[in-house]
Amino acid sequence: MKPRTLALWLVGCTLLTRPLQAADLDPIFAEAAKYESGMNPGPLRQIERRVRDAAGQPARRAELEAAVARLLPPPATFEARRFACQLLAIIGTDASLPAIAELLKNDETIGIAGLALGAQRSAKAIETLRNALPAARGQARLQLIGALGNHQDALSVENLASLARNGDAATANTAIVALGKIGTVPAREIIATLRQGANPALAGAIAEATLNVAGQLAAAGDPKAAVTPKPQWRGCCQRLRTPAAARTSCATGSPGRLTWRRGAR
Amino acid sequence: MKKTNINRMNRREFLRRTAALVTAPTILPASALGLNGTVAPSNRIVFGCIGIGNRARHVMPSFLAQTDIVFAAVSDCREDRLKSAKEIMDAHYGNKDCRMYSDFRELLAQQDIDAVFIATGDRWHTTASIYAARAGKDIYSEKPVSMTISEGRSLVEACRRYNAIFQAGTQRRSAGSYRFAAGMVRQGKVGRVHTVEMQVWTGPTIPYDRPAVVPKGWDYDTWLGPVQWHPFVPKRVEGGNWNYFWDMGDGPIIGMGCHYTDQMQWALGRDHTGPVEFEGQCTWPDPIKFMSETPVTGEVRCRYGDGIVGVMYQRKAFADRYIRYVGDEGWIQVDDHTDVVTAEPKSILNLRAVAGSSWINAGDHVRNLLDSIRSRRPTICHPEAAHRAQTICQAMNIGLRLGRKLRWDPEKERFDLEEANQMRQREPRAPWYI
Repeated sequence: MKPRTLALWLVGCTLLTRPLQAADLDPIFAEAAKYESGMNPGPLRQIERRVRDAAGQPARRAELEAAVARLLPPPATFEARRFACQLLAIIGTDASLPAIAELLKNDETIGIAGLALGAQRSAKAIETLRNALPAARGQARLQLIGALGNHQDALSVENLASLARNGDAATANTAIVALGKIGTVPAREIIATLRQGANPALAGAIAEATLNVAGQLAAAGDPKAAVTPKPQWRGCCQRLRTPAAARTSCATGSPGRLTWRRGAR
Repeated sequence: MKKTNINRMNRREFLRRTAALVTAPTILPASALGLNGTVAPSNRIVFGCIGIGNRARHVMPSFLAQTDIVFAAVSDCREDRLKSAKEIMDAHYGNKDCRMYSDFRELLAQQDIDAVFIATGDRWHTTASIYAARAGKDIYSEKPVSMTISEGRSLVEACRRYNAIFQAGTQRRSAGSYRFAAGMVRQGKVGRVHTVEMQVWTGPTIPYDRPAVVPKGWDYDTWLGPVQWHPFVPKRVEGGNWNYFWDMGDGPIIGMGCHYTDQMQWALGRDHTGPVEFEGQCTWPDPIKFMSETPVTGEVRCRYGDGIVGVMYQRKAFADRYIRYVGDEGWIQVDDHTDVVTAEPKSILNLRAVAGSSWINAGDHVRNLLDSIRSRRPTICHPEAAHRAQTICQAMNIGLRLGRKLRWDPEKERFDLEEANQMRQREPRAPWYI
């Protein structure tokens, strides 16, 4: 056993045999911050165990959350940050948002920041994503758009509407799908306008957004509103070459029962 | 989007092919007309295959044995697998027609493809399925159909929205032994069922390993797909080892367990609902030696609202896996490794009139999908059923990871614990979204 592994093992054994004090966290977290594949993952597993054991102890959890958030800034390795984000996706609160927000500014870490924020439902978590959107570009922007759509953030509609008309097809498609998930009246109006434009490169996203909105309205007890005016939608679908199944579904507001035949789809 | 060879036909090629047609004898073979028991090409369902790894190669013969389908294209982010898959297809059909796509979205964009067989790594199943539904394709997806509960619900919604016929690869629903056992349970031959025992094997442990250079011809970024970036670590990604890391797999409780929860739900008639409570314990890999994350052994119980208990054991050897339905008048068990059914009272076994192949042969399961594609009726393992069965395994794992007893509302699909609810979803890595 290497000296470093032995030292770590001894620290672990010591900690496991007595109640954990705040100061005891430091060596484990210091080791975790250096973690890279190929190294002993013991510190990571110990932190996970501490988090499990602290269930139902808010003060203890807050201490652990703060310690996990301290793994986010440099010089922690990418893999340590990734691990921290995985944990914060589960135990994160508004307290760790400032540290996560820093990761949103970096292309390399925006994905794991999205992972941490994706599951958090607080208004501040969503605000953090929203505020990062205007400055983001490329993959980072796609990550944020996707997350805001999943959060159904009504306050992002204006920004997303602009991005839905972006010249980059990936950005426009992701923004349109996000608008469909949000599904508010302004979002629906934008989707309706995009249908008129009938850009074939956006056909799939427009169909997805339209169907998503229709489904939401139907689920809310408004099946009449869920049905897109048939002639308008049919014409749009034909121009967009949307799959037949989507055409049927959209025109009727419910899944159509198609008869299979070659080339029908 | 790259153009296909078909789209690339130039004037000279067009003339060459037309001349060949004009000079060809005007006698058509019977197979072209669908005579002599063959299916006319115009009535064949055209498939594409997404992900051509070990699992795809295992199931593919069950597809290729069907006479009313044809595989027109294959897709994989590994060049070696893609090329060898084309060789397999071309050898089977006696031509060179199979198209190759390193990006599955290009395969989905092909208008001549009606359906897809998805046999990627688990992390891709839902995303690829939803993209396929959006592209108007019908789907056979390997299990587990999702990585999170939220993904599973999205899959159900997408299939409904696009009227996609979907078959989950939990093919034991189409196997003779399992159909017989489930039928006996439904007919009350073991009395009122109070317990369903399910046993999967002791989880493997993976020693830690250093990152390495990505092998040539392997598009590792696409291979990772919706999973957050991780360095290429050979022992983590090769030989199916990814199964034992939470971001890419879920260990035997889901890998094999979803077959059993699927059977339990089916036999008990619960395809549209699920248990209300989960509780269990497990042992974890020793971090001094191993980097894998999923449990080594465990015992998790779930309880339905009417008191029926499902117990998932993770223990013993690979060959020891089984499902047993225990009622107040007897029990019936299927040993998966041998496909042998045992029961008490033994007289139950005399009632076996269900024909059908072993679970190893997925032919009947594939056939069920093809019939459903033609009739537009749900498959035997439709998205809702697959999602509900998968939810049970995911809830078991969430409970183990949190070390908590969980209550679950199958209507609202919510836990009684916020942390557990946060584990119902996972943000995909851009540009992938569902």
